[in-house]
Amino acid sequence: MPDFVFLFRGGDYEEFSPEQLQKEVQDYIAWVKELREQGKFKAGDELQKNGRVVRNQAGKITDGPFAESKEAVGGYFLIEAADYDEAVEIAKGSPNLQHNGWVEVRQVSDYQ
Amino acid sequence: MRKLSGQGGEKGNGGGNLVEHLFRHQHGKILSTLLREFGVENAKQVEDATQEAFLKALSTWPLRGAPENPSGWLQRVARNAAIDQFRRQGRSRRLTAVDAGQTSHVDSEPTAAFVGEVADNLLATMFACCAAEIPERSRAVIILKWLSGFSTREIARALLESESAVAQRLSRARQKLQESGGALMVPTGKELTARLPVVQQALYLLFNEGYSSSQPDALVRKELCEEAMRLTSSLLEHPACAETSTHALMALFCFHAARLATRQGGAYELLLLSEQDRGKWNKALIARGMEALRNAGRGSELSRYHLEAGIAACHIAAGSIESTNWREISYLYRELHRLTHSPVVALNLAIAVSYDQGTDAGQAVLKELVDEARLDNYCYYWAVAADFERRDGNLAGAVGLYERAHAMATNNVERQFLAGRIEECRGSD
Repeated sequence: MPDFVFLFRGGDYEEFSPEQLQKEVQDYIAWVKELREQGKFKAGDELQKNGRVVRNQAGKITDGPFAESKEAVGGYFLIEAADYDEAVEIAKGSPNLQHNGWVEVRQVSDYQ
Repeated sequence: MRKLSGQGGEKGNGGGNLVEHLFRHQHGKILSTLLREFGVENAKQVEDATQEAFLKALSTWPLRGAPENPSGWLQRVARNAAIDQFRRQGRSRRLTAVDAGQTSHVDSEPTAAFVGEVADNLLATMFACCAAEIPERSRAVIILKWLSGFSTREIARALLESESAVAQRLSRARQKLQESGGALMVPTGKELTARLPVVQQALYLLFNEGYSSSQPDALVRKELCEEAMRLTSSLLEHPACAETSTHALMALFCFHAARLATRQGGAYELLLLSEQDRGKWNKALIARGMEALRNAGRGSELSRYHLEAGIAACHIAAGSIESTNWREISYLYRELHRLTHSPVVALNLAIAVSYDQGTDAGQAVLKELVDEARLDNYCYYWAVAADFERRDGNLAGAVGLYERAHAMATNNVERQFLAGRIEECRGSD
């Protein structure tokens, strides 16, 4: 079965109260637990939000921050799914979709 | 490099069964403890560091599992976040230790002795929120922000204010506390005697925002009441703050909260009492209230909370409106009026007297205590006057007075109640 990378972006969490954040933590824990039990979750971790973007701007290499911090990837999952349809269906369960967040789903190419 | 595999990461509280409201309740403790260490003048940074800990929980717990000791974890991460922030900014006079590298990150969870300190810090912050420099209503705002961990939006929604008004109250309160620069501590001796009533008053206001305001959302009302009760419990755990008046305040909250689910109509509660379903009152809260009332009676002090709790207890103890001890209630309202000179209390006294001795006696109280000129545009007054006419069978007169009240009503709950009474009186006319 192919692997898919889920990249989590956005989400209005900065403005959340502790009560809302606790609910979100619980929703995520439940979601990840379910994916693990189904054997679909292979790996994942958080990514620090203060990342850099290295670019060649007119011959000069820059390493500025993201233009839009909301676009930064907050974390990633490595998910096993039959095809894009299934991967997308799984991604729809992400709690961040309820709070202006989104998930980028990319299949890992397999050259074997 | 650490990557979590599908099989691992299930240690600790991986099931995600966190204690209800854990984050909300920890917020006040964490923030208070950081305020104590880094000074109230750094309140904004402390708020941000506390928030950072909860955000960190969101990004790590789902994958690694919640830690064995979530509260200790949050406390530690928040403190480290605060230290990092101050290092980056490199300012504030209190932080020379941080700058000199003497204050460093901690890797272990707080010890048991520290837990008692945390409770003290929470109370010290509560007293700071009720500083004389902070306007009364802003005290409730900053208590909700700091001790209950409400977001600006949640406070705005709870207190029926705009988000910008709440944000302004918060920044002014922070500024006042920064200027006053006082140490964060629970006062003692005479100062405690002087300031405890201010804290009680702030909690009373917070509770009433949930109980008596025109807040339409039942869940928000319940949360405000619960927060006021939780903070009052913290006050009761501190020997010096557990005055009989604090017990009376708790009793009052319990009795009101016991009826929260069945009540309607804000200030109109007394007029609507006969329509409440007494079977649905919360028995556990009533029992807790009775215990608090017993503790409140162990002294000579008779605060307004004693009187109000006594009134609520009379209603709770009665099986029906007819078997209610209206004489006792009238006495308590009269004492309460002597203390507060509140027009609402005068109107409630008139209602109580009318049930005890008839509507003529109630009318006499209205004449005696209520300055009509001042109340001319006060809807509740006309509603009470109308109620006396209705009970006397003078339905035409009642309709006129109810209509007068209806014209001055300020919210939908009032309008609905009054329109209902008008229809009822017209129907049986």
